[in-house]
Amino acid sequence: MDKDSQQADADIRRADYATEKGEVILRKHEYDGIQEYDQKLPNWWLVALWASIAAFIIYYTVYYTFDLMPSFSDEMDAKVEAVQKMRKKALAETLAKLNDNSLVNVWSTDPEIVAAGHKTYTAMCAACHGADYKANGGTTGRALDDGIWEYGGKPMDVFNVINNGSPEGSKGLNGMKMVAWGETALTPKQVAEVTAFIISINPADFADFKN
Amino acid sequence: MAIERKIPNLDTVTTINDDGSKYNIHPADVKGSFTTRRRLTAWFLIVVYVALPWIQINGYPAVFINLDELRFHFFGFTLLTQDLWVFFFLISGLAFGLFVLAALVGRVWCGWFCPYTVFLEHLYRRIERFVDGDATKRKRLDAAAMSSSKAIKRSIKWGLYVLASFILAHIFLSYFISIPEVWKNVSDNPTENFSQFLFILAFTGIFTFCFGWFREQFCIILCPYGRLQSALTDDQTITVTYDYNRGEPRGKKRKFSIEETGDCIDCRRCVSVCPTGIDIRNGIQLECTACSACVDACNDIMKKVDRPTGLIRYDSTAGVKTGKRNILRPRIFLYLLLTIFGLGALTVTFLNKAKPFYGGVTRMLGTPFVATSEGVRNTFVINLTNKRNRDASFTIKLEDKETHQLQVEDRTLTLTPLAEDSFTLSILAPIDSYKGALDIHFIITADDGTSQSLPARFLGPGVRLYKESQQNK
Repeated sequence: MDKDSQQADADIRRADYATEKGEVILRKHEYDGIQEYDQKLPNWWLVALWASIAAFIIYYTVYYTFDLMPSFSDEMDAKVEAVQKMRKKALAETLAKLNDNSLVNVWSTDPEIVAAGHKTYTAMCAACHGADYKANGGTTGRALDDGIWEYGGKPMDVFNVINNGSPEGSKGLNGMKMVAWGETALTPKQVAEVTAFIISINPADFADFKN
Repeated sequence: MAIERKIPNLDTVTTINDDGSKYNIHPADVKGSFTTRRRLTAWFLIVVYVALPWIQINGYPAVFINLDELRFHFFGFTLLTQDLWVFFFLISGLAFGLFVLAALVGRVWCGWFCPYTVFLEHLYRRIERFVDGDATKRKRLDAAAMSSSKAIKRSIKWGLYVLASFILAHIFLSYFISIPEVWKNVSDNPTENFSQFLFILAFTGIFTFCFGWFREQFCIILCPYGRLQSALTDDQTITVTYDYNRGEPRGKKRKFSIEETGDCIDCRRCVSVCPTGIDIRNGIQLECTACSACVDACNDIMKKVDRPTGLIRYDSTAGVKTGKRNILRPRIFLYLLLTIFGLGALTVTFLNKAKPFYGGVTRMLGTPFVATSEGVRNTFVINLTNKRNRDASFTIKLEDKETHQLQVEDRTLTLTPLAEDSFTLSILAPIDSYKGALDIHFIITADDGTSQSLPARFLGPGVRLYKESQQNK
């Protein structure tokens, strides 16, 4: 609305509306020389305003006052719980199939399982236990081919060390302890595969359990 | 019921009645060179909108915002969520580009390119014109009492609106879940993909409401870009203007009268074709989206009364007042500079950072280092993501100048498309060459030659005490 650019004010159809309706369309108060029109907001705008206020009240009472529906944090908690449940279930399922006997006779004799275990070993274990299983001369971890099983020589002992980490109260090697791989980076199935792989490279140590 | 006719003025918005209800505008038909060009532009844009999800580049649709897997495919580039910061530069570059355009030619985006205008003017209003007839017929139908023919016409029109909105909603969805998925879900039961079904219902409703009823209210009241462009308009901006010097005093020239009249014969064609309900002869206004319908309408009339065209034309306020235009003024150059900065920064960072793979390094869980008689050892975890849609193999080494001090097994691994993998890497500093903690860099090279350097810190004990303690053993 650039009044300066209009040459003849009289030619502009201005405020016919006010004349026709006989209404005053300017509010009395003046703010720094500016006066305000007094016209109705569009109805759709007012409806939207009232609707959003109503929506807020409904939202707040449903989600927070009466807890009728789960809020975002409730949903997050539920998801975390579901994941924990899944993990427990996976572990239980794996453990159900595992015992000393099956680890030696079924798992470590299956070439696919051993290959999968080897792959996991190279990715996660070789850094400390060495690609040659000698653990860099026993500095970064325990050697896995020397026949010494610090935390128990049964197949399930090996599984438990990998799955749950070094046992409580143990001192570890050079201040380092095994992390609970089963809860952090590996699924219980992967832990079983790695165990099978370790068994397969040490046939002599587990000969007792062989059928 | 009489046919409503409102006279546009500068004190009220024509489409808002004094009781708050909506006054429906029925713009008259208009033909002309601008209208033709606008239609062609609009249909080109619609074709692009519909075609983009079908066009495959590098194995993925040209624009595919894959929310499920959080990967964003954009004209052959695949961005992960870690890369989205480039959009900051893209958006600021585009924003400044809009500033330049708006300062130069006003609301040309609104009238020619905006998707709202494109769909409203060139799809939905065409449907209305087809079903209900020209402006006079539409106004009469509005004013008439409900009858069976009116009911039938209304049902057909709104049915067609809903159909068009339905199709557009599906195309919109395909930008997020890709065409094959959309097609599959369409043939499946709605309850199986309920959130997508709700999406379609919601957007069908929104499009129908906006293009069927809400129409120009969005442009006038809601749209921020409209206000932005209006705010950037000044006296030198070229936009749709009425040449009052030529046109006034307006009125029909009587044959044997000595009264002088301007070129404007007050035929009010410009008012009748306006989709936002203004009178452009009142000057450049808030509601005007610069659609240039009044330009074509007036030119048409001028030809009929044998006067030169251009009474309403694209010109600046200063140009109409004085005849002189000053288009290239300082603020244009300032906006251009900022645009170039924004787009330039985008290009530079994009070329530097947008690699076909993502690599990250963290320290391995456990003690920070192991110091033995052999040397000092650090273990790191490297995380790699292959962003390509084909297998890629990577080699990981240490930066050259660090290798004389440190030993690491060079590693190679292959990743399948869009796969992520982590593995551990152990670095040894033999005791003889150990000189204390240092900064190291892992160089990851992909099989196509692109490489990335990941910094890390090799930690270890103080040199003197360490070597002494080892000697004493």
